[in-house]
Amino acid sequence: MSNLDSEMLEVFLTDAEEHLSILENELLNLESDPENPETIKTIFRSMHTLKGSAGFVNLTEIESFTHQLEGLMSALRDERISNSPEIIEVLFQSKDIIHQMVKAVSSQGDFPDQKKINEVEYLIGKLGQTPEDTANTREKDKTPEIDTKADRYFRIEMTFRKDVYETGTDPLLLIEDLAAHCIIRQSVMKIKDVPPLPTLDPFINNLSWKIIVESPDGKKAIDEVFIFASMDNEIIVDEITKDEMKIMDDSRFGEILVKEGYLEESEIIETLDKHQKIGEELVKDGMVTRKVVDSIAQKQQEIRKIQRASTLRIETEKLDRILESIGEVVVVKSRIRQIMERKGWMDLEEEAALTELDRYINHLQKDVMDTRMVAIKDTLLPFRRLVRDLAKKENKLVNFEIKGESTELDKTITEKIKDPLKHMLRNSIDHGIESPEERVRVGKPQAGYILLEASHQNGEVMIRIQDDGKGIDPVNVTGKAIEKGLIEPGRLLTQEEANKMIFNPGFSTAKVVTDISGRGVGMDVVNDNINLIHGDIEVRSEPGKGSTFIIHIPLTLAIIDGILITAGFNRLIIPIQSVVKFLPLDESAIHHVNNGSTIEFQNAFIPVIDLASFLGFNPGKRKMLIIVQSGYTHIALIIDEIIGKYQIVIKSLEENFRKVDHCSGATVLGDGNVALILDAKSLIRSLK
Amino acid sequence: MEAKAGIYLTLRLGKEAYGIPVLKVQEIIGRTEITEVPRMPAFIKGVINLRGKIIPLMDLRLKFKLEEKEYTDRTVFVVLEVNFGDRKRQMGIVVDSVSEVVKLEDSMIEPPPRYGVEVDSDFIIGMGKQNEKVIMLLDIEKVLTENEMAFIAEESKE
Repeated sequence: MSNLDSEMLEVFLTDAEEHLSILENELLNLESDPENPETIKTIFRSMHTLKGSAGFVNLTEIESFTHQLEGLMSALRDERISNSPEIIEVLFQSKDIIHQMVKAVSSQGDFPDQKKINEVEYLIGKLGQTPEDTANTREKDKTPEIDTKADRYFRIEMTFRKDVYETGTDPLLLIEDLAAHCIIRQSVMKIKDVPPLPTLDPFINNLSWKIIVESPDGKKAIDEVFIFASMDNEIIVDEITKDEMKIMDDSRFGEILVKEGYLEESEIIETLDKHQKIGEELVKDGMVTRKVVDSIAQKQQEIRKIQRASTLRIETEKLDRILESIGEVVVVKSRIRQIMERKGWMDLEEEAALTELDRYINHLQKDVMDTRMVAIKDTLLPFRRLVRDLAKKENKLVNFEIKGESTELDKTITEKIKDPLKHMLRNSIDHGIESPEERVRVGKPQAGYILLEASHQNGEVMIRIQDDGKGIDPVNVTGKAIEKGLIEPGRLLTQEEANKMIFNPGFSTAKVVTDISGRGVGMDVVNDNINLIHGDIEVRSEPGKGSTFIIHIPLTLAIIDGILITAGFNRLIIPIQSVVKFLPLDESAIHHVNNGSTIEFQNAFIPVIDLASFLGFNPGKRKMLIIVQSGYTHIALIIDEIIGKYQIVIKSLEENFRKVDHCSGATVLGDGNVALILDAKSLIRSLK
Repeated sequence: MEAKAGIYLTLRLGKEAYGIPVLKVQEIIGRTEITEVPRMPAFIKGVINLRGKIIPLMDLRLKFKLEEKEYTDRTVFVVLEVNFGDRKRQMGIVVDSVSEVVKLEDSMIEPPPRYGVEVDSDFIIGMGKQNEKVIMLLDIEKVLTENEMAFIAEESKE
C-alpha cells in the first residue's frame, strides 16, 4: 500500500467506518431474524461496497477478505444455502476482522493475526458451499435473480371525488394504511387543481396522488387497502418492473422539474417509462429547451453541494460561547426593562419592542440549543452488541429491544449517560434475567426480555430499562443488608425500602469496577453519575416479574429549571429535580433531638437544617420549609421565602474562583446579580 | 521578588497608598451587588457578575487585617487578571478608593522595610517614592492566590 493518496484513504476510512457500523447493526438484526431477505441484502451491499472501496485504494488484504465474504453472502441472498447460527457467528467474527484491518490502516492498532484470518476464511469457504456445490460446481453460474420477481413494485394513481370527505374516506388515512403494508418509494401529490386561498373550499378535495410502492405481499395487499375507496374513486394499481423502479430511484431530476413548474408530473412519469436519461429525453421530445435542462442540472449540483455541507462539525465549546452570550443578552434586556420602569419611561410602545426582543431571544436560544441536540441513537445502538455478548457469556437468552432511538438530547449528556446505562444493562443481565432453565421452571419464556427506551416527557428525557427477570426480592435484599451490617436483623424490608437499598453504597458487591471481571457496578455509582448531570433514577420492581429503572435527565446541561429561594437574605437556586415539596414552616412540627432537628415526612423522620445558619449566612426569616431529595434520601431545609420558578443558565464558579461547598455552580439573575445553585446531593452527603 | 520600574495604579486603604502594576489591572468598576458565598474566610466577600462571568471579590482591608469599613459611594472594585497555576483568572478586590496612575523609575523604588508597616510585610515588595508621597508596592498575585493555595492543599488532603 505505497503511494496512497491520503485524501482518498481518508474517504475510504470514513466510508469503512460507516459500513462497519451498518454491518454490526444488520448482523444483530439478522441474528434475531435470520431469513430476512432485506437484512441479507443490506449486509451484502455493505460488504460489496467495502470490497470495492478497499480495492480502489489498493488495500488488497481487505479486498480479498471481503471478496470471500461476499461469496458467502450472495449464496445466502440467493437462497442457495440457508442461514444458521454458525454462519452468523462467522459473519460477526469477520466483521471484527475487517474492523481490525481498517483500524490497522489508520494505525490505530495491529493487523489481525494471520492464523485467525485463515481460520475464518476457511469457515467462510466451508459454510458458503451449497449442497449442489459438492455434487455439481457448475450450478453456481445459474444463479436465479431473486430481485426480478415481477410483482413487487406498483404504481398507484389515486384520483378522488371532490366530495370524498363527505363519503367517510380520508385520502391521508389511506396513504398511512398503505405505508403500513408497503414500502413507499416515491409519492407525488398533484396540487395543480388547488384553487388560490381566497376561493379555497376546505370541504372540497382537489388533490390526487401518484405513489410508487414496493409491496412484499404483492398486489393483494394494496387492493385490500383500497377495498372500499376504490368503489367510488378512481384508484389504478399498475405493476412495474424492477428496471422501471431503478429509473424512478434515480429520478430526483424529474422532481426538480416538477417543482420548478416546468412540467406536469404525468409527463415525467411518461418519460420515465421510456427508460432513458430523463434530461436528454425531455429535450428530445421538445418539452423543455436544452437551456432549462442545463440550468436545472446546475441546480441539482448545487443542491448536492449544499447537502454535503449540511453536516458541519462545530466544537461544542463554540456553541457554549454563543449560548453564554445569549444568556448575557437576556440579562441585559432585563436590566434595560428595570431601568426603564424605574425611570417611568415604559410605555406601550417600549413594552411592545421589548416583548418582541424577548421573542427573538427565545428563538435564538432554542435554535442554539437545538444545534447541540443529537439523536440518542449512536449512544444506544452499540448496546445491542454489548447485550448480545454479555448474554452469551452468561449463557442467558435475551431478546433486547431499543425504542425511541431518535430521541434528541444534549451532546454532552449523551456522552455522560453511556457508562451508567452500560452498567445498568449489565446488572439486568447479570442479576435480573434468569438462566433459560430457571425461566422455564417458573413458567416464563426461555428467552428474557430487556427493553431500552428513550423518550421525551415534560421537557426532560426519560430512559427506561425494563427487564422481565427475577426482580428485586425484599427477602434477599433484607438478608444481604443484614449481612453487610446496613440494617439491624429482625425486620423485613418493604419493596420500596428494598428498591432504595440497592443504591446504598455499602450494598453493592463489587467495589472496584472493571470490565474484565464482568461484574456489575454498584448502583450507588450509577446513581452518582446520573446525579452529576442533574438527573435521577426511579425504580419499580416486582419479585418474579422483573424490574424497571427509569432515568430522568434534563434536555441540556447548560440551562436548568430551578426554584429561586432566599435563605438568610441571600438568594439561592435549587434545581427543580431536587425539590420534592414546600410548605409553610410550623415550628411545633420540628422535633429537637440531641444533635439536630427532625420532622416527619412520608411516615419517616428526616433531618431538618436551617439553610442560612448551615451555610454560614446571617439568620433568616425562617418562614418556609422545603423538602429536597437526592436519590432516595430526603431532607428538610428551613428557608426564608420562595420567589418563584426560573430557567437559569448554569455558570461555573471554578473558572475564576474555586469549588464552593454545597454549590454546583452559579447563575446570573434577571437583575444582573449572582445566585448560587444549591447542590442537594452534597448537602445530604455532609449530614451522613 | 522585587518591585520593578513601571506604571502603577495607586489604591487607598485608610491613609496609606498601595501600588499595583497597571498591567495586572483589567478594569475598575463601581460598587455592584455582591452575592455571599458560604463558608469562606471573612475577606472573601462573595462573588459578582462581571459581564456574565462569575468572579470572586476580596476585601483588601480584611485581607490585610485592617479595620472593616462600610462600603460607600467611593468604594471601588478593581478587577485584576492574575496567573494562577497555568491559567489566568479574573478576581476583584475592594479598596477605599483609587487615586492616580504613577510612573516609577528604578531610582524611585526602595526595598521594603522589615518592620513598621501595618500590612503583613510578605506582600510588600518595594516602596515607591514620588514627590513626598510613599506608595507601598504590592505583590498582588501573592495577595490573591496565597489563600487559594491553602485551599487546594486542603482539597487534595481530603
